[in-house]
Amino acid sequence: MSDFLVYVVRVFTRPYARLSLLALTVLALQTTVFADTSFAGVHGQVMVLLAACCGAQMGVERGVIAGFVIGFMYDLVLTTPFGVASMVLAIVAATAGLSGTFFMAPPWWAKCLAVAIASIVGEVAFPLLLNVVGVEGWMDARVIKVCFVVGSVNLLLSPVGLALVRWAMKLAPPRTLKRSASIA
Amino acid sequence: MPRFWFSRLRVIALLTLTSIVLITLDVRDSPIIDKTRSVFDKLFTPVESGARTITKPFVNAWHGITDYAEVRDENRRLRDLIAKQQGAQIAAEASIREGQELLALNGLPNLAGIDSVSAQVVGESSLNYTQTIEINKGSSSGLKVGMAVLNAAGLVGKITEVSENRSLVMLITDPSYTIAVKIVAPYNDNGDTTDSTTTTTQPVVTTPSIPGFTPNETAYTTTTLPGQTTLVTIPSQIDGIQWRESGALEGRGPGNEPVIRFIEDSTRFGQIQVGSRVMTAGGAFSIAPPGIVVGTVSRIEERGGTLGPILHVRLTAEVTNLNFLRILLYQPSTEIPNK
Repeated sequence: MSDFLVYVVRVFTRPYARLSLLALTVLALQTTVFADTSFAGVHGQVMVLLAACCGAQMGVERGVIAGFVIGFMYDLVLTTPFGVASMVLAIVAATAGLSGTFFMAPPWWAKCLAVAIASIVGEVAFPLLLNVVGVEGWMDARVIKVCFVVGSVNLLLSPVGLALVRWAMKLAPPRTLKRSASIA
Repeated sequence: MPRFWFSRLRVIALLTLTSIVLITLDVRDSPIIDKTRSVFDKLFTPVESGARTITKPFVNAWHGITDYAEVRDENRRLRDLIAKQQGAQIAAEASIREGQELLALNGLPNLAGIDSVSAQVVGESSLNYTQTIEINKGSSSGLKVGMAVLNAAGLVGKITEVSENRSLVMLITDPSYTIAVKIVAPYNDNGDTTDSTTTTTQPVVTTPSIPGFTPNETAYTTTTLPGQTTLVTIPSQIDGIQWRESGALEGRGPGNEPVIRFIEDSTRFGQIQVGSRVMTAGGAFSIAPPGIVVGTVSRIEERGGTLGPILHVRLTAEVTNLNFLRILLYQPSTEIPNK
């Protein structure tokens, strides 16, 4: 029994297992607290935030896979056609991951900005893709309001999201000027 | 081309392809997708319930902060409304009962003869691009996909997904929602009927029989106790209240009033006016029985040519603030399997 527990603990100390657990927790928050609360009639999108943070922290290649898996989990609880959220969150992660192409080592504020921009891209991609698969009627002026609210909320929450992804994936802490100087 | 670009493109292409396959499977109603969703639902429900319990104080605090002033105003408004409605309710109940009796006597379907199940809303859709809610009743209570959902005010939506103890309801405001409706002329309490150009007051007359009605030629039967006389009260011009038009009601997303389309232009459009009642039309192919109150016409948008107008509908049910709902255990005759 104790061997089994040790095995389970060892499994959940692996980065991707930790990220899966983090995604499950965020999904629970999305379907409860963020579904029951809204700002100006718009729900916060923490699943989009998590996908964007994965992209910003892990880069395009690994981020896009993480975004796809997070979207797949979101698809399991949504009523929209299966696969739409997977594709959208993969796009979100890829967009956030592109911040790495503009900086050698993106500073924290650039990552936060990338998360907000990627979230806005995601909120535009959702109704667009829904339209492509035949679920019409969502591509209207309300999208602008949704983008503004989701982008702002995710910008505020991005430092927390980035820290959580860094913890889950056991990534090195961001290099500050002070640390860089001391290393030198 | 750098090597990482090839790798990046390959990953993106593979994931795009997987998404397209998943979407195709779902659009084609693949049982694999349904099964996967159902299994995940069973596993995730305890996690969700736990999270809901833990986060409830935060949600309550949020609603307390953001909704307090609105709730106070609404409470004051509702008190006034209740006082006004109490008198009208008694008269309306009597009219409904009479109407139901008449429908039953003529063998026509009516809401009183349909079983229903009460349910409570337990969750909302977390996505900004769907209009669904979750209720705490499922297949174990006899619920099936397509059944009409209403609250005390009127039609709210339809069941779109059913698990054992939970169901998802697509709200009437969702752009994917469509239902056949009829538009009925407004009829005032004192017997006034109005049209689009003039307002005329027609006196209500009491006659011992309906003009043109011959009991022996129809299925209508009635019983009266000895010594009682049956009096039917009708307006003098019965045509004034009998007209109706049919159309398809479509949702248009949150914050937008649903619209009625597919009404061919006819001379009777002059009679449709702001305030006309909108009710479900029923029929063999309709998912809802006839006679469920939907709302009133709030705006008429005229279109050129032979296209009929678009009618904007103000819903009687407030879909943004739902708690207890009633699900009619009704299936259209085309959906009931042959024995």
